[in-house]
Amino acid sequence: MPFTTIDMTKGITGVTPVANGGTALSSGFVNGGGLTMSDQWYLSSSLDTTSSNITSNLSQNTGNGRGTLGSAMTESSGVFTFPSTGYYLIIFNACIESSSDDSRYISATINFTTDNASYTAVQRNSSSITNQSDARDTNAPVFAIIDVTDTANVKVKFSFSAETTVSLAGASGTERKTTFSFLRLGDT
Amino acid sequence: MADYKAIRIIHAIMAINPNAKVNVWDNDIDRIDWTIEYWDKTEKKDKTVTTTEISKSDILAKQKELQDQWDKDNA
Repeated sequence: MPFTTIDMTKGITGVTPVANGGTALSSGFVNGGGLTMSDQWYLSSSLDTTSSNITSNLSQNTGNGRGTLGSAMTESSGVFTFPSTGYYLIIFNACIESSSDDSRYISATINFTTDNASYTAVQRNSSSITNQSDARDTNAPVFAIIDVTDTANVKVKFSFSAETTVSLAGASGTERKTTFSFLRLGDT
Repeated sequence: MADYKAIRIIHAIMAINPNAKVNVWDNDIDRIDWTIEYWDKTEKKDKTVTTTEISKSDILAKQKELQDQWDKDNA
């Protein structure tokens, strides 16, 4: 049987399904489709430390083709507040530089609170630097999926620790190294 | 053996006070946090600690001393 084009707007009751960007769907599709919020921040200065929460020198990653989709995160003293409730994927990409120090562990951690006061380490990843021939770099990406049920009390912040003094890399010109990404996956 | 090592500000601070807990931003002598907040992995909670400040002149002198020694040892 030859393919026949069907005029979906005639002889059919209900709402016409539209998969791409529709706004009046009855079921089976998500209005608009895809992610509705993504935002990325970065460490603007390199941080030499053995252990610290990241409480300053955080900037929103904009310009040079970068941008924020939907509502942005807000940040104060390293504490990030979500723009709305929902499930969020959080990615902390710790770019680590060492001027030839050994470090058996270098840990990046996402810390989470549900009362805007007491934090819990919810996700951690570790790396190490063992080679002593000149400066060495490594990275410790951390991923967490957080259910944000209350934007006033559910917040995140980031911490970093190492066996020896290492450097969490800051930005270099337009190039970003250590970044913090937030993607809203869906409703809570 | 390392080919090159740049002694940074934090290396000099740790050489003077091995128990120091500080942050140094951009390896800048004028951007040192002597009071820091950190996540204590053992006690599983945030802590704030203050390290007694070391003078800039002492830090820079120690940095030069360490760099000279390292360069000499690895010449």
